[in-house]
Amino acid sequence: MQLTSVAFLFSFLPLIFILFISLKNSTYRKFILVFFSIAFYAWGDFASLLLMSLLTIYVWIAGKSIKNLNDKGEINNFYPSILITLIFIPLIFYKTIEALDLNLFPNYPLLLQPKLPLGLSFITFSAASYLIDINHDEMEPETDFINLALYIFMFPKVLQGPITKYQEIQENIHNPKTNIENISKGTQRFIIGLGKKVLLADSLSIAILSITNIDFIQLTSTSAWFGLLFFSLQIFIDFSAYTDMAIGLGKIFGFNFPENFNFPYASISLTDFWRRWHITLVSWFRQYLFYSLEITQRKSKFLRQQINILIVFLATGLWHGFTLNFIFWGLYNGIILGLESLFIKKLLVKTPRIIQHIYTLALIIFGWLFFMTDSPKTFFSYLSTLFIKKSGSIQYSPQGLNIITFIPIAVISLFLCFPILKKIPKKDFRAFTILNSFGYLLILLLSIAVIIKGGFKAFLYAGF
Amino acid sequence: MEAIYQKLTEIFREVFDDPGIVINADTTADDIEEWDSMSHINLILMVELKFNIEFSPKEIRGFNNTGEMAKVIQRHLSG
Repeated sequence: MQLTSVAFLFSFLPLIFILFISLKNSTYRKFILVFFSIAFYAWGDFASLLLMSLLTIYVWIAGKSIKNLNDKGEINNFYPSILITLIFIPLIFYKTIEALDLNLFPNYPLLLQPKLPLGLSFITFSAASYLIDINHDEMEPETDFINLALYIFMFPKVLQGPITKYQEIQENIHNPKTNIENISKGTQRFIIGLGKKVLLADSLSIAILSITNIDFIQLTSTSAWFGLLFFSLQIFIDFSAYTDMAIGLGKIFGFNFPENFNFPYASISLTDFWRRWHITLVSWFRQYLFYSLEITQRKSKFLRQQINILIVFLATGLWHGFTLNFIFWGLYNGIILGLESLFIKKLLVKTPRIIQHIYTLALIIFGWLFFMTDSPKTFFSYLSTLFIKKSGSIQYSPQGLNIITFIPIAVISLFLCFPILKKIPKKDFRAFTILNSFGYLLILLLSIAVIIKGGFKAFLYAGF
Repeated sequence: MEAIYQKLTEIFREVFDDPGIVINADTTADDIEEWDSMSHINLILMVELKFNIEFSPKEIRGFNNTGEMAKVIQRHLSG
């Protein structure tokens, strides 16, 4: 089920909310949340529900086993490492099938064909963090299975994160409760996300598809630039919209999910960008992979940090998919971050702030080209169109869509990429509060109108 | 313990290139701007070198503040 679907907004959400606030007992509330979360997942990907349930049971058993092994004085960490590694097997299996487009069981009906289960990348990384934290003695395994099931399936985050560590929401899971302030703040955040997705990201998507859904030979340079710049806006607005909705929904039910974005396009280096973009994924890699590599190889002198950064970003690319474009995107980021740690950052700090921003934005936008294209051939074809002038209509995409009409949407999206609204002091008088509420209501009504009209498109990160 | 903090202060000043740093038991990464996951390992390496000790990965992961680090250093030195 999608967070922007009619079924979710008008049936699922009101029903779970009413049941949740009607029940005062925390055990009943947990059962409601787990039941609805599983139903939410099954609605989107019924075929993978069994696998996800088995995965949850595995995490439950592995967590307890790791704790027992460590209590018995497991010195070399061999068996816990095996138990943790096994959690990645389904993800690797399905990503490989997806990348190679394998048809393993040609005679099976479509429903039984293996395909990447919804949210598997996000679920695997959450589950792995649970097991690793137990292995590092940072937490105890969960004693109540229902709590672990809620952690894995909790509906706002199951499909696209934020990748949440168990300890971050342990208290919320044990005792789910909310109040008027949480409901109010959560609703506002949800509406912002809904508006960003439905009114901005999906509109940009129409313009981008009209530019890129053709043979690139027909592309003009101007269209190609519009396509790349619009995509840079769309990927941020779309993914951060989902995060806003997930965090908002969590808040409504009293859960504090971690933030995933901090104005990434306002970064002053690519290193800075990776502290502000998809924060929960990068934190995962930093904490569990980079840090472990650094600790174990700390005596190594030859470009140790740079090699480890490259490994981490190659893994980040692979997380998105086992295809060449994501591998190159990972290597591209890893090499630049390695160079920044060697010397570029020292040079950058001596330049004016505006140069730092331009340098960073140019690298980020160029990097999205790997996301937009699915093979080296299309990558270089698009790249050459960007820089070798191919004239044609400035105003119209090859499919005849007037790109200029999308510029206001792009400008509003651009405005949301920078912390401009945050700088406006929050006034606490009645007129402002009324205006504020009217604004949220307007965004909600406009979004619902678009959804009912049928303009909704899937989230970009739903594919991971 | 006082001597350990004194030596740690010197190491921190050298690693983070800031002569104003003064270390106490409660100092954490939040107190020093440059102290991130990248520089943390350089710091660990320098501490190991200057005190002539070797931490285990588990000890390194357990350093939530300088006080915890100093206690582990003391344990290594007395062991």
